[in-house]
Amino acid sequence: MEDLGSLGDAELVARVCAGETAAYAVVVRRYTGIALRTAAFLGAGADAEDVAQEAFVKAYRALGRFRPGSAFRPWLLTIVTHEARNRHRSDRRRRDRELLPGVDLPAAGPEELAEVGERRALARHALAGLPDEQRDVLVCRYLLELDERETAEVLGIAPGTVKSRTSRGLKRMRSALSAHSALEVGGGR
Amino acid sequence: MAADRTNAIDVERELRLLAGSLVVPAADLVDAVMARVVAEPPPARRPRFATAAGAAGAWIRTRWRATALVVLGAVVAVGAATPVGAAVARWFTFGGVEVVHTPVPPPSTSVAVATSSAAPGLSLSAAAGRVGFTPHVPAGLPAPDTITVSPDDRVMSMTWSESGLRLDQFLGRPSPLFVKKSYQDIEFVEVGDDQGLWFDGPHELVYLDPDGSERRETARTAGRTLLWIDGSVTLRLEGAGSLDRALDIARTVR
Repeated sequence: MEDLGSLGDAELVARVCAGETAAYAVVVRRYTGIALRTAAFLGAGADAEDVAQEAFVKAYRALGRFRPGSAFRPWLLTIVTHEARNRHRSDRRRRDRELLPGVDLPAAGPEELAEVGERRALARHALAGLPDEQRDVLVCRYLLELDERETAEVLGIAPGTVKSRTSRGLKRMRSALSAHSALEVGGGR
Repeated sequence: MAADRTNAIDVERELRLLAGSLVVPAADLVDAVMARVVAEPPPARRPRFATAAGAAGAWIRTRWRATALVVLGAVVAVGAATPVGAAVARWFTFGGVEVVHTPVPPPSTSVAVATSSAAPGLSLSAAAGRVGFTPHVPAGLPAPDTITVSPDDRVMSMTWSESGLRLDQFLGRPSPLFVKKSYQDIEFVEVGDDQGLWFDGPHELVYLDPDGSERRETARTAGRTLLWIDGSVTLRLEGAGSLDRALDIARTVR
């Protein structure tokens, strides 16, 4: 049997559109991880699994509008992000209050882990305190590890705006974190 | 010193470490997704332009290919199943807009430019901050009466109530943002150095979600409209009346 998993996104999309529905399973498998993280970090929290599933179904129906030649991953994540935001549009205050609801830090174990956990908690708190548009950009760039171009596409903004929001967000986080001595002590590690 | 202290914190590193510590529960979505899509027809990869297109269609096709190579760099395929069924003859994407030719007029023939909005107006800089691109401003017109941004921050609109003008602008994307359904031929025009399309009659204007679903509740019949692309931004000017007047205004947009 042919190994569909070795095919590129463009070829898989073309095959799905030509009626080879099974090729879509490869696409779903390939992007489940990043779709779940995107959903969880950009508003869906604990509903990430539902949101990602819904997004994959909508992406399937929209494949005919996908422009051949453009990158598949950011296009898919745009749909995931839209779905995640829709899910929580009616509950925006909750999203502002708790960043990444439903996603837990590793439980504190030994002393050292507890300290590391505290640093992560501080970073997470500082990130959560940013204005929406700066936080979303930093989430895409650092938590989802998207590049500038992908981030621009997923958030529907210009690449130059990604740059400026990134630098404003980092600056703001830096001053928030500088208020905590914990980071100075552990800063070198 | 404060500056030394802040320099000591590598925020990017803290963010990367945070990323590594955030665990999103794994899930296998393949079976659930495939169970839902397997019974559906293949996604509508639209056929290339209808073979039955007449001489006018052939002209448009040729011109469009040239335009697409210059402006979009990518040609969009077309499909049999469409929102209005087999009646659709031609389909393509121009900037952030999908243009669909239909053989029938739009459902409503009353045309009104939507120049008023219930949303409170914004300053130009506030609107620019929301949409994330530098807005284009027509130097040949007075300051707009209102500036608004769509709830999802994707479309900025300026309106001039006295002259009945409306200028929408948005970023072109790998998927279109609007679908325009026109039963009349459209005209390819030059707007300065940019490519444009002129819709010389009523057409249906429908907003598209990122997943391509049409937002029917906001669909409306739009009048004569000039559509053009400037860099990464797609602009649509409605209410100018004639092509000449629309071009005059469009050429002053900076």
